[in-house]
Amino acid sequence: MSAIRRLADEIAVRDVVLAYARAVDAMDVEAVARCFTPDCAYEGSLASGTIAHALAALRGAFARYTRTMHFMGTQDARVDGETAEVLTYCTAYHVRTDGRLATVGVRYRDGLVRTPGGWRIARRSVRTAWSRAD
Amino acid sequence: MSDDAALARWVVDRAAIRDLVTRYAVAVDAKDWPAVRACFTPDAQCDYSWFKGDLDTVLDAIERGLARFESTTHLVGNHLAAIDGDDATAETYTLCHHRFRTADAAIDRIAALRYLDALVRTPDGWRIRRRDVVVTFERADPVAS
Repeated sequence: MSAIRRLADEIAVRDVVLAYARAVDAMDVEAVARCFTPDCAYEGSLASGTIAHALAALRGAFARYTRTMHFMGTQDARVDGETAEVLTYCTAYHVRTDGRLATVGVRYRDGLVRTPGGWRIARRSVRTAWSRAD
Repeated sequence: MSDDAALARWVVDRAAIRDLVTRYAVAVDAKDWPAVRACFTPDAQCDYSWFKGDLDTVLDAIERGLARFESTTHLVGNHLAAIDGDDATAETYTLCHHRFRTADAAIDRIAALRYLDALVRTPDGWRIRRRDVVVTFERADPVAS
């Protein structure tokens, strides 16, 4: 694979994780779903099973917050042909309906696959590193 | 080969747009107003939520607005861009820390926002021709100093 293809794939793979943040912050469940394969394995605070379980839980989570911002920094992306691994650090700000701010330090470990429609997350593990409420 | 050439152009454009948005954040923290102005087309229109208008109006509001802070930090996070020929759109998450001092406390005022930019390729590189700012939250915390 050419160096430019690898670089373009790395950007595209990071974009999927960032598109997830944009979709979840827009509280757009359909846009969130488009970031994942339909049978994506999911392990995290929302659910344990598949992305379908997480999406169902997400609708309930949206009701608890007026706004969120999944602020992402560190992204370690490794592409290997038709699959990729990305570790993303995220500080997730949640403005609760009572006005208080809940902040969570999250790490996403994603396994992605190249599909005809572009890269999709096929495996996600979410770990909460820390949290605080102000 | 032509595929690689197209991919290379896309990678270069993505990097250039990211550089531009980053350069804005660095320039505004350095209070380097000519460098801030250079990020925009001369006819750019902006809606910063707190103020809006043409480039002169907005740059004047930014300069006056930031004058009272001891320091500012525009920390750039999530950045996505979509390129369509000589046009592009970009969305950039930024955490803006504004430090100021009252008689008895130092205050850290945070604005968490998204820059929604429409950009255009010019002979001098990509420039922002329209910017909208969407504020997610603002808060102010007294800090130990």
